[in-house]
Amino acid sequence: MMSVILRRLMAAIPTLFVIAALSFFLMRLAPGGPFDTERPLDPAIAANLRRIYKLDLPLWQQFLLYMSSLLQGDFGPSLHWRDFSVNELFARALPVSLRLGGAALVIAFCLGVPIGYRAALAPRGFPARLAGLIILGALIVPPFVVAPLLQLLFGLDLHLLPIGGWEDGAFSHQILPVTVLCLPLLAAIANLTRASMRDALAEPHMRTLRAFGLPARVIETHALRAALLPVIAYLGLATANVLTGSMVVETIFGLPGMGRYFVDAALGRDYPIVMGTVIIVALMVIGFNLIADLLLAWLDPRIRRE
Amino acid sequence: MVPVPNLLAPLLAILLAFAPSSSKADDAGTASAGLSAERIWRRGEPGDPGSLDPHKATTVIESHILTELYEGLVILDARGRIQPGVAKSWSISEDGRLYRFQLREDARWSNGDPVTAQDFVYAFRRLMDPATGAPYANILYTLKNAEKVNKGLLPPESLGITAITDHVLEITLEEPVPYLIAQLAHLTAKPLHRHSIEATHGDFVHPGRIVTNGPFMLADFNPNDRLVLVKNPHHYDAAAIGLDKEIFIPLEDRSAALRRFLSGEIDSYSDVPVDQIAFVRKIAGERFKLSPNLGTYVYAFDTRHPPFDDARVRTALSLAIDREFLAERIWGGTMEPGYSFVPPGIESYGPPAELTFRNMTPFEREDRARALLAEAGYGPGGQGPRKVLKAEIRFNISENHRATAIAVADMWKRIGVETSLVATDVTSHYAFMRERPPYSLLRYGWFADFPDAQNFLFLAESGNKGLNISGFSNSAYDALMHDAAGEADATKRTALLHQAEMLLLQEGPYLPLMIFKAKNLVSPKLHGWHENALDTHPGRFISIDP
Repeated sequence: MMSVILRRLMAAIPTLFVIAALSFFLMRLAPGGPFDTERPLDPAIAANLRRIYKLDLPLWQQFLLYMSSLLQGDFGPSLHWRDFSVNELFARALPVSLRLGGAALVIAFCLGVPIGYRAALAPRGFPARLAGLIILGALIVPPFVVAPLLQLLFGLDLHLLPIGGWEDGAFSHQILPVTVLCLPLLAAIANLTRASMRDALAEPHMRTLRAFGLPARVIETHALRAALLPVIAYLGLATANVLTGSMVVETIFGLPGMGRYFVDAALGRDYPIVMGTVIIVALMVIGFNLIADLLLAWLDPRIRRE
Repeated sequence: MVPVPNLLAPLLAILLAFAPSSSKADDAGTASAGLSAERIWRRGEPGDPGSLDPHKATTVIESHILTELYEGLVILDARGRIQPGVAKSWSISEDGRLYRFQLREDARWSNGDPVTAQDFVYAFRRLMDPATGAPYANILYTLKNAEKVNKGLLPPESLGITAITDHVLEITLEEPVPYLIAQLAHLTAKPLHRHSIEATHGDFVHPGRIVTNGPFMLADFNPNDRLVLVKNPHHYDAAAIGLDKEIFIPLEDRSAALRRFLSGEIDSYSDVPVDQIAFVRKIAGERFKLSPNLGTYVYAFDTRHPPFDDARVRTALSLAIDREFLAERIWGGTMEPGYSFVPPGIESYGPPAELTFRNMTPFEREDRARALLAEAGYGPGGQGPRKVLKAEIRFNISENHRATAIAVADMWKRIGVETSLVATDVTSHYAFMRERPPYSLLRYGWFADFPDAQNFLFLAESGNKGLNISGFSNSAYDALMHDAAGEADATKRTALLHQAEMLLLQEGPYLPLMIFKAKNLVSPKLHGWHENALDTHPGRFISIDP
């Protein structure tokens, strides 16, 4: 087991390097730089600024400089938030996204699995049909529609919840964003559980169990274990995604998470932030895929043997 | 039968784990924080400041915050008028090149230190020092030797600023420009506290470290979340300041900001979602304030290459544009039709010069445009020896810029011009503008750094390599601008600038489309908030109902 984990971690290092190198050079292909703003700078001043931020060096030298500071855990200075380093910005933003994403994930899992499970057991009942409808709705209506609607309803009309802001993570300020983050996840999990539960119940060995006269509950529990495998495989990637923050949700609710940096930094050519977000996302994807694989191995003896 | 209860337990545990923090948040201020006696202005802005170092700042948002943190020799009041700041009075030498400022004795830094003339000398030298890399240093190239210092040709000590005593400061100018006082209200012209900057090796912009002399001090800054300012008890006017706190909240999503304003979570916001303008007008009513702003929306022609090196072609295209349609229909009345290059509202300049065809009927204008194009060798459908005029409009992606370009293309179709559109992301657009390969037209917006016509008209000077996007080069225009710069008599200078603008409108290197308006949402709880052309609203003059 340990050797598998070690092997996977070792393989992650060249993967990360390739990702970092590719994004470093790709990013520089985009026209313009961090100092191209509405008011064009005096050419001499712009040249001076590029020199101060070492953007005048040949690209390969910049890459080596970046990689050497990255190895020391330094993401460099932000070119837009010029009073902060990228490390300082991420140290504030990452916990916010982790907290929101973590809550959304746990709720989505804890509600999605039972909903899918029940829907699979009684596919023709009213609850299953209702669940199907809700799942469909949550999957097709995007967050940028759901979020403003919830703000209008709970914030402006009912005055029950604040419309936006973080306020140091006040509970009432988390309810709407977590709901919006949670809905599509919940729908996906419920959908997957329902489908794979139905498949698992139709397997020949389930028929055998039924023929032996085992109680329905025991059979269903066995089926659930098998049905969870695709859900967990899906969660590996989804976790990495949701924990690194959502640009849409954070912008609409005005939350200081990681998602805010994805698009703005790329548009503003804030190279160190772009690199930082790429590396954080890559780390998360690699890490959570590994965890998902380990969980799968633990649940499924066939995988363990491999 | 279903393991639901087992799964609900961890869910509840998670919910509970998040609960305790709610009590902490109440004093940080939610919509209901009016219960406390503190007078707090929650001020929504469409973004975060990039830097609170006055020498690294460039944006409007930064200028709003730096106005609160620092006080220069002069300040702008709630109506955007110049008032004495740290300087209580000043005198100007007869040749207009030497300014002598008498500073207040009671001006204090937020740590209690006195503000002295040396603090200004230190700040201005740091601004021009090439090692600082101040992007806006060139605004103050009006000071003697400033450009040479900034380009590393002279040491910072040779800059035209001297502390005669602790409270007497002298500034020497390169040319006798009359707008120096207006420039001194700009964010680049603030004093700095030398000791705290040198002690932190320049890394001074953090709460608890930064020492400022404005009416407010920095208490907290969390990017993308909020920036908190509290009243500076050492400020000489502290007793008269009506606010205890100002909280700047960055909100890029205009629609979400509108909802937060309507629910009372923020007291003001300096923009509106233009695509929902009818709804905004209806729901916000009196709280929605539209006022003229010192900003101009133009299309720049590439005057270096054919066909737009021909003034007849440029004028023809300008004639064919229905500016009222753009301002009213496309921008929902949040813009003013633009018939001048300098926006109206600059006191020292008076009403600007205007395009002469303003009062012609649309039909007369169209005929005139066709005739000019024919003269220049262009005609519809490429009949006979005439070619079809082709134009390409470049703009940065935004719904309104796109709609504007489409409408303009349609107007030009009527006079037989074929127009194509190129939209790029905002940084690519500005990079294109800087590199300036041959193009035909590109969208350009300009907001005043200080209220003077020169700050607009210099965009067409041939020597202005960085900002003269059109590549316009006209010796008569340059001569007028040069004469105006050296003219110490205000009336004569204004007349020269008017002549220059008239020439600029005739030649048309920039096609004026619209004048910006400031769009503000302001709660009736705020008192002392006044509309003004600079759209500046210093917290010092504002109070708020609890």
